[in-house]
Amino acid sequence: MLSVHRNHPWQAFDKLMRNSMNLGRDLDRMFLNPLTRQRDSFAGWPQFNLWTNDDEIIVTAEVPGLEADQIDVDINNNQLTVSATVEAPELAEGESYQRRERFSGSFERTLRLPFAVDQEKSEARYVDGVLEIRLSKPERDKPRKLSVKAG
Amino acid sequence: MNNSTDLKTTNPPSHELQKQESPTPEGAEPTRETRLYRPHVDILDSADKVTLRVNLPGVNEERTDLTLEKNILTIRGHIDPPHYEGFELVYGEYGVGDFERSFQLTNEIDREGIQASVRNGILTVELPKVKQASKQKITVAAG
Repeated sequence: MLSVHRNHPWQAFDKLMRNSMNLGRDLDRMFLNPLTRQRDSFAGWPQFNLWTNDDEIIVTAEVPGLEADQIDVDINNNQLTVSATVEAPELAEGESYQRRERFSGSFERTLRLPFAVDQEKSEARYVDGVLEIRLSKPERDKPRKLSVKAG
Repeated sequence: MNNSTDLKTTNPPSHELQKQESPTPEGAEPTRETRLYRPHVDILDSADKVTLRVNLPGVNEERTDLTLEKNILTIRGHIDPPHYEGFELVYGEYGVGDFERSFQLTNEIDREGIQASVRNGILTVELPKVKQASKQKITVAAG
């Protein structure tokens, strides 16, 4: 070992680095078993934006890689819950991850809305990986103008 | 083995999943008045190709640019930030703007065979590797 250090001071370090990189690759393989594909639910993804006017709410989220019918949107008074499962790409034979940054797995996020909404009048669209949900205040909750009768 | 701990490692840490602004290259100034984001990517490697899967939510094929200059592949996705007339943003977790990210290609990638497609906000780029058979083999004769 000593001679290795004398010949090439970084050689031992290089070897160590190589080993730890291989270890990372092995761990990847272990966790990415395409058969189990179980994932932990994730709280921080996707991220949401929320827009309002007096009677409507627009909620948007960037959730690329899904089909429209794979997204569940539930409305319960003033709570909106969005859930889905983003499948990890299937690894072909002999294929491995060199880098992995994209979210995959199941998520469920609940947003508290500024006011209760009418489920019947709400609609959700999914275009190019962006989810847009439009929610409306129920008629009964909308501000009404009362006519004042004389007498 | 503790399963729940293992499963967590399949996704990057939470802060890395958040949308991140892209650093402006030194000396370069943006020419569009939108923010620039660095998209998340999966890179898959096999014997015959490298596959990039890039999250480009809000981008379709007409709004995607791929340029290859020398050995740098640059991916751009153009976004028109939504404007909801009469609405006010009351809660915001992410910003909206263009996407940009560059990748360095090794010599083993066949430049002519690169293919790209966009679906549901994911750009897939296939970078085929030069076939083993086309590599020149030089026989060393004894003598």
